[in-house]
Amino acid sequence: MSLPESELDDQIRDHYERQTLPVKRLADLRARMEEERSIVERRRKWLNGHRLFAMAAALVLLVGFSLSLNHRIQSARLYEAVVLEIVKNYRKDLPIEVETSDYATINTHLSRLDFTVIEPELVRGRGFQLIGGRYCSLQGHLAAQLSLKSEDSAIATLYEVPAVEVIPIGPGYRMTEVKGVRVTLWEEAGILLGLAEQAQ
Amino acid sequence: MEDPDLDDLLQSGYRYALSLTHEAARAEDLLQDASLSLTRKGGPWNRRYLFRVIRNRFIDGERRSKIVRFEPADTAEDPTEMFRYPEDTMQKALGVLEAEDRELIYLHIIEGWTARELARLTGSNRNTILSRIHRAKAKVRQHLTSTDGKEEANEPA
Repeated sequence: MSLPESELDDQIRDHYERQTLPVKRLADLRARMEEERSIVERRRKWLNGHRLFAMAAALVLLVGFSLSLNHRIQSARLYEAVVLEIVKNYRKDLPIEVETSDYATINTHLSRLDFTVIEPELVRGRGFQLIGGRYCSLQGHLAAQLSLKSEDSAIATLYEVPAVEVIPIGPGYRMTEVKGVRVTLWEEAGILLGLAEQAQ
Repeated sequence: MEDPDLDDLLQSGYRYALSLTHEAARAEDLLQDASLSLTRKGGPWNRRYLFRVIRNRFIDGERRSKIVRFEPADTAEDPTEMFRYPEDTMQKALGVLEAEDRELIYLHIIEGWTARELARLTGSNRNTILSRIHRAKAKVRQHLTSTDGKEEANEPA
């Protein structure tokens, strides 16, 4: 006897509806899922915590790098500006206000300076002799401009200004030549020193 | 934690897995794989999505084991390993079908999917689906009636 369509469907439906995952297996599966969910949750929390930490670290590095870069750019610009100003002053060859070979006399005469003019080691070492000095300005700060004479009678000019007020140059000498003038910048005893002389 | 809705969903997933595997142990494994996968992804916990994951995992498993077609249950080497109720007539009749046809039968009759939805799922056209369902049911019917005939014939007079 042929089975009617609807009855066949019912029998198939009944057959599948009788099939159930045993209660024990269902409970095991739920437990595994819960365990998996906890693992995923812990992993997610760990990742979130570390992601925040990584983002914060990256931000700090970025800000630090930007500040450092900005500082370097500003310093480079200032250095260039100081050199150009020294060259300009050197070329003007303005007359000295006090004629002396003694640094103490310079300090007495240029009393408006809020620092003590020094005889730098480089100047002393190269045998420069002080001729005299005058006030000048570097980057808007009151500075000393000293005329020096070398052993072969060449005239050089030394500029002195408190380093912190203009540009901290750091250790060592930095030498630049601009239009036939050689400028050596360095820092000594907190003073920014710029020696301008005719390039060889 | 008790969640009757989730239990119902998992039972539906089990039946669907059973329609594909025709084997209780494999259906349980398939459901477990799919459920854990969904747990890791954080859901969504709905019937369509669970079925899709089960189906994809089943197809992947078939590809890996290079099994293209199931053998009918009554010709398998160890029928007790193949199904929980090896003597069940309907079970045997459904075992005659290929997995793809059994899936169609299950989704159409039990889950109420339309031929159009099944066509979308399998990438076939609607008429092909209707024809496959018709042929699959005819096979089951034929198996059931022929079994009845044999049993009657085997009964002592």
